[in-house]
Amino acid sequence: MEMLTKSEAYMVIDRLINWAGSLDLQVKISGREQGLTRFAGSEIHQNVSQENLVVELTAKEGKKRATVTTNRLSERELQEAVKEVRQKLEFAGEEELEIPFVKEPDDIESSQYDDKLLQKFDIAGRVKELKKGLSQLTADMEAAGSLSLHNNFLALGNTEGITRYARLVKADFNSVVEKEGQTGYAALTSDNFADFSIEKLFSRAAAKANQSEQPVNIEPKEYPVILEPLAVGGLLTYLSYLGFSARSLQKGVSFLTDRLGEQVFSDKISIYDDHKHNETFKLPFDMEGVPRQKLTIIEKGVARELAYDLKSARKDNCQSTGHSIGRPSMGGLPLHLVMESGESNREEMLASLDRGLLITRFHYLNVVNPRQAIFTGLTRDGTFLIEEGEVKAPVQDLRFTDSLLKAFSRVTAISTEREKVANFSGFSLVPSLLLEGLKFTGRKET
Amino acid sequence: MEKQVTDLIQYLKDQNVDYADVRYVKTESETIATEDLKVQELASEVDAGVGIRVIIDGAQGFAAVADLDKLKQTALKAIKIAESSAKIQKNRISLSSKKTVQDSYATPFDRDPFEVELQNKIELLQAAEEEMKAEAELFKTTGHLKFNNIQKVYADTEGSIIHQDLLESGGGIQAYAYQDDDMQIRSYPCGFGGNYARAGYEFIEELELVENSRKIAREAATLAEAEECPSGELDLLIDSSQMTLQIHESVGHPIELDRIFGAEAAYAGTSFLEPAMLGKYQYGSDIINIVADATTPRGLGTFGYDDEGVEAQKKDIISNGILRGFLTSRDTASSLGQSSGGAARADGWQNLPLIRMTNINLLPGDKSWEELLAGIDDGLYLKTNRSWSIDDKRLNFQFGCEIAYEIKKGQLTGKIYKNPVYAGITPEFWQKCDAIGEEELWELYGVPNCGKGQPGQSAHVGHGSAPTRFRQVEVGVGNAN
Repeated sequence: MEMLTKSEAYMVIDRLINWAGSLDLQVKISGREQGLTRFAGSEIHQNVSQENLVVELTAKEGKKRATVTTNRLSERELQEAVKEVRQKLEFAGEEELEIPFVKEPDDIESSQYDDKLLQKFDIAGRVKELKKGLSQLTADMEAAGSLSLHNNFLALGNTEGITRYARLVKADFNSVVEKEGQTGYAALTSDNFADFSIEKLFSRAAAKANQSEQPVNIEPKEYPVILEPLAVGGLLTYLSYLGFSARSLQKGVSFLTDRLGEQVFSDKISIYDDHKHNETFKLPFDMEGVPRQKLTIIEKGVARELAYDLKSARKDNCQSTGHSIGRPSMGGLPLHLVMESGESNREEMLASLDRGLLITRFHYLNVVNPRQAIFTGLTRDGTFLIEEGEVKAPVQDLRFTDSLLKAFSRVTAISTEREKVANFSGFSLVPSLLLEGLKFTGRKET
Repeated sequence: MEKQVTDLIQYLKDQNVDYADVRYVKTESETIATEDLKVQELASEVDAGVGIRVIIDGAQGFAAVADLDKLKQTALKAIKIAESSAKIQKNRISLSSKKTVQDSYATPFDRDPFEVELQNKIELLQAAEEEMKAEAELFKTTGHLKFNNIQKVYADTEGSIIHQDLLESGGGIQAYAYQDDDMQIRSYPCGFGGNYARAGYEFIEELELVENSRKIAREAATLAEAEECPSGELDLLIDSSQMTLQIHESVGHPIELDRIFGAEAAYAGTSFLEPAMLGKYQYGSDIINIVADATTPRGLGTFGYDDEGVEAQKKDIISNGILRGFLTSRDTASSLGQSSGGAARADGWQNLPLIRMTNINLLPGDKSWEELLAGIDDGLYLKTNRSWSIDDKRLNFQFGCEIAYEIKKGQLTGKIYKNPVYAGITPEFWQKCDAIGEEELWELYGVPNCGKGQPGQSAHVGHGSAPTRFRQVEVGVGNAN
């Protein structure tokens, strides 16, 4: 039941719209089957599955709008949901603007997915892959992490007659490997089974743990840094959440407020949102049914385009770019972020550093000052001192607090290779970056 | 629903599982948000389903489903998952013993928020916004109300059957002001979208959103023109609205015993604490007394029974500065030879219970407001959380607040600073505490969005505290210029 086919989903949408009569209604149906196997101390401690099917009804009349969501799906309960949204609309206060439902194109379908993910990462498959991966760790190592399979669909229709359907299948792996108190990390999120080698990912985390033995303490201050893709992906996710939506500018909290058209980052940095890119996941429409457009968010360091949903677009008197996440209070959000690659390989980036840090990833990133894009967070699971172009020693983790407007304006190299890194709902495609400086303000105690 | 749940327990017994529990959870919620006097969001949701946990030969499986016609199929899936788990398992899961009960619990309340006219709720937020806009020139105002009605039916193969009806009400308002390149926000009664409680609509009325709106409007406008918070080591008086976050991040999370055992190592991290520290470790100064209290009236972490059917308890966590207890579940408590502290909580029906905070409360001290201030020659009074970050062992933290009020020679001078940020190392920071406000200054805040686990779970927890004084804390480190 959870994975409705396109025709099954459209039948449910038709039935709800028929029950709605003259009511202007949008119907969204989302189905989810998720299996996740979690391990710690190199043994499984949580192994779980969940199945859910949710119907969301949004009704509107002029400037009034109301939403009712339910996963109680008997005919009687769905009819009650239609009745409830109608009643709620009656008492709803007016919103600022009237937001029409999407009228075109008639249908968008994206039914393709990698069936191998479903075959290889089912309950037994996940355990088999983890067992192989864990078995290659040495006796003095322990691993924690998870391997999960996400099998979802999304369907949408409205009283304007449009229909939308997409299957969304992806897998997610992450692991910290610990050796004598020091840790290494590897992670991957992808919708392509061919990307996954769980054994290699464990090896990568183990190699980082091995390299991290006997870390040295260094003074917190500004250092040149090489940020590996996991670290770049973490920062990009927060930058996007904080500043790449038109809504965040309308709220005045974006660091791009009053800066569109200006040079905000180094001219080496270009950032797109591109659902048609081969290495991003396939979702060609947004949560309001609007066809997703490619955005050039940052072009050679210049702030160009923002993500819009219907409401934020109406407010700015323009068209939605198809980036609704279904929450008007958040506006549009880019979910298919791609940072353009550069021309350097890892060795070249290392070789260019007289003294600096190599950072695997960040922990607990958060915003300190949104308008100045000041963030804070700690390095984690593999932080190394680079001297004269070589990794000299692991270092005790540090806290950075810095403006990314400043830090990303001082990019000296970008890697040719990129990796898929999990973001809030899917994954981004990002390279490694060499920054002239990132300001560290504290040291992690042990 | 009880019959379906108990029938399923019998079905699982027939499959020869060693242990099983079944939880039916139905949550009805209503969200109302306004912005600049207009309705921003008007939504309601019904979410129901069943979560099934089984243990076979010391290995655990969990499966959850919304479709109640698939209960037996899902039970078999949980068994299959447990059998798979056994293939990578070094230590058998062992549950500490508990009392078998047939009982029910309901949140006490005076006024059902779902019976209050929608129009009245919208008008309340709009009235507060009107007051804010009348008081000061603001860029934006917002208001928010949220209500949850959670029905739970729990049964396990040991014979417990428990019904719970939990009611939550929460809300708040915000004023935004900006000048040049800086946006300032003031929130009431706190950040996180407001204050939340397990209570009825009377809680919303007692918040007095309209009556408190003008003050935050004034403060937001003044903050937009205020100086940056000074840097250096200063004495701090931290308001309950920020102590909530301080307790949450630097006490609540480190004392989760699953985290201490490494269960969260790859995601949210571990803890600097170890079981051997119990009863010996000096967590803070000797005036620090902290309890985990799932019975606190109106606490957002208050319930009758946790999601393993263990009765709500009040446990000492820190007594006179010494670490005395952890948050525990049945399996983790068993590792220490203890019974569960009743802190296994799941986010809805679809998730496995994890160790979560209940109400982690700093008990009141003996200082009046005047005495707290009087002890500060040069310092700041910090209010309302805005930013937070802490390392993966819960030691190095850096927190930001919405506003800092200057204190000189034991008096608030009337001057305020924007963008205050302070940092510290958890035990060193708690050692710097030299005064805690008395009982009449003690306030309880509910946090509705505590994240943990994979798949991610959001817990509703509470923290009570009074304004608390700390000596010579590093301030201003967030100023990256």
